[in-house]
Amino acid sequence: MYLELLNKISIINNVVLESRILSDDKEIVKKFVDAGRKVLKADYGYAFRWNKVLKSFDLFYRDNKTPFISKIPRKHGITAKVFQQEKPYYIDHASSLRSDAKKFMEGAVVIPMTYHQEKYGTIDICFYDKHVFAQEEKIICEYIGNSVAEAIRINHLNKKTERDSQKLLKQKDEFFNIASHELKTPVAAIKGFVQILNQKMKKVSPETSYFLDKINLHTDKLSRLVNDLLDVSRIETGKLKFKKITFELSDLLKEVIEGVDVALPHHSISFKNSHRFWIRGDSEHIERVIINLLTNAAKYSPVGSKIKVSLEEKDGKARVNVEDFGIGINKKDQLKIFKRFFQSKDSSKSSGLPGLGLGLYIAREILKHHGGELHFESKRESKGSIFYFLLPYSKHRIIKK
Amino acid sequence: MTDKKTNKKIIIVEDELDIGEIMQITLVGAGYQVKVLLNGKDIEDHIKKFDPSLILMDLWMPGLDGSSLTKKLKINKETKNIPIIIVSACNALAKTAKSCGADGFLSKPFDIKNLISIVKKFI
Repeated sequence: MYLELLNKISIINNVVLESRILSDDKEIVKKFVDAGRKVLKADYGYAFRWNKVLKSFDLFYRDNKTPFISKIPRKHGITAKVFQQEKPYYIDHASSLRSDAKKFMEGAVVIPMTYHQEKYGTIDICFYDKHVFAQEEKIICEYIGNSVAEAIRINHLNKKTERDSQKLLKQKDEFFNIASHELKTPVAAIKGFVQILNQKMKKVSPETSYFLDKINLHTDKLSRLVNDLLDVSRIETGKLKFKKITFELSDLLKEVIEGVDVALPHHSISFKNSHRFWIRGDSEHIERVIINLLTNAAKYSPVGSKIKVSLEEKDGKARVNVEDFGIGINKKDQLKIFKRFFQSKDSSKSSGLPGLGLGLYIAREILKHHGGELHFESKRESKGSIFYFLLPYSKHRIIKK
Repeated sequence: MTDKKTNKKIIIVEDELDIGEIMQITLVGAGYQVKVLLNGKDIEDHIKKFDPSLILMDLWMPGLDGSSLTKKLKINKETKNIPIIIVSACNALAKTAKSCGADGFLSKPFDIKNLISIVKKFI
C-alpha cells in the first residue's frame, strides 16, 4: 500500500522535474494531466485556466481521450467552487453532475491548480464508471494540484527574470553608447589641441614637443580603453560590427609593430616572417588583437627584454606568435585568463598601468568572429609566455575587378 | 603646416565648439578657407553664400542629426556634388555614414594629419 503510494508520488515528482525545462504553461499542464490520469488509472483528463482579465474560465488542455469538448464551466458550478475553495472535489457517482456531462462520466475529481497565493485553474480527471476515491488517491490529487501550480509559478518567474535581464542589458548598452560618446569628445579635444600645440612647439622647444608627444600617446591609450568598454558591451549584445575586406597579415603586423614601437619604448620587438597570408575580415579589429597581445607582452615582462613576433602556417591556418620573456602565467591564472575583467594579481609586479582586464577577452571574441582561435603557452620556470592566434586565410589575393 | 593659400573652401558642421576649432585651425593652417557652423540650420543658405568644395559633418547633433542632413544635401541638385565627410566618435557608425550617402568617414579622436589627408583625397 505504502509502496504503491510512494511509487505514484515519485511519478508526479518526475513530472515536476521534467516541467522545469518547459517554458510553455500549456505543456506543463498537459504533463500533469497525463500523469494524473495515469496514477489514478482514470480514463481521460482536461484542464481549465482562469482568465484574470476576463474573469472567466477557458478550456486550456484536453487529452485525446476526452470524448467531448466541455462547455465553459458554469459560474457557480463545481469548477468555480473548487477554484474558490482551493480544495479538490470528488465525484463518485453521476447524480451531482449536470445532464450533458452525465453521458461521459460517472466518477471524477476536480483539482484546483493552487499553491499559496497562486491560482491558475483546475484539472479534471474523469472515469467512465463510478469511482470511489481512496484516502491515498486524495493525497495524490492534492499533491498534483500544488505541484502544477508551483511549476507554473516557477515558469512565470523564469520568464520575468529573462525579460528583466534583457531589459537591463539593453539599458546598459544604451548607457555605454552615450557614455562612450561623451567620454570621447573631450578626449578628441585634448588630442587635437595637443597636436596643434606640438606642431607650433616642434621647432621652438624639442623638449616641450617630447612631453606633448607623451600626452598624445596617453590620450590614445585613454581612447582605446573607452573603445574597449564599448566593445565589451557590444559583444554581449551581439552588436559588434565587422567590415569584410581582404588584407595581408604580414604587412599588417609590420605596420602595427612600427606603430606601437613608440608606445612600448622599453621593449625591443622583432618580427620574423617568410609567408604572406591574405585574410578576409576586419583589419582594424585584427590590428587591435595584435596591439592587445603586444601590450600584454610588454606589461608582463621586464624593461629591456625582447618580444618576438613570428608568422607561420599551421594546420592550414595562419599562426601569429607573440613571445615574451617575462613572468609567465601561473597555473591559477591560466584557467581564468580569457574571462572578462580578469586581472592577474601578478600585474602589480609588472610595469605599466593595470588596464581594465578586457584585452584578451575582446581579442578572443574578435578572432571567433573571423573563424580563428586564441591560445597561449606558459613556459616553465617563469621564462615568459607565448600567445598565438590562428586565422583562416587564402594563399592568393582575390582581386575583385 | 604649409603657407600655400588655396581658394578651396570647407564648411565644418560641428556642435562641439572645441572640436570645430581644432578642425578649423588645422585646415586653415593647411591653407584652406574654413567656415564653422554649430548646427545644420539654414545650411543651404550658408552653402550658397560660402560655396564650399567640401563639408565636414558631425554625426550627432542636437536638433538635426548629421546623417539625415547628409541625405538631404545628397538629394538636392545644387548640393549633391559637394563631397561630405562624416566625423564621429562612434566607429560603428562608419556604415551609417556610407548608407546616408557620405563620401568619407573620420573617427574621433583623430590625428590632425589624418584630417588633412582625408580632406586632400577630395579637394
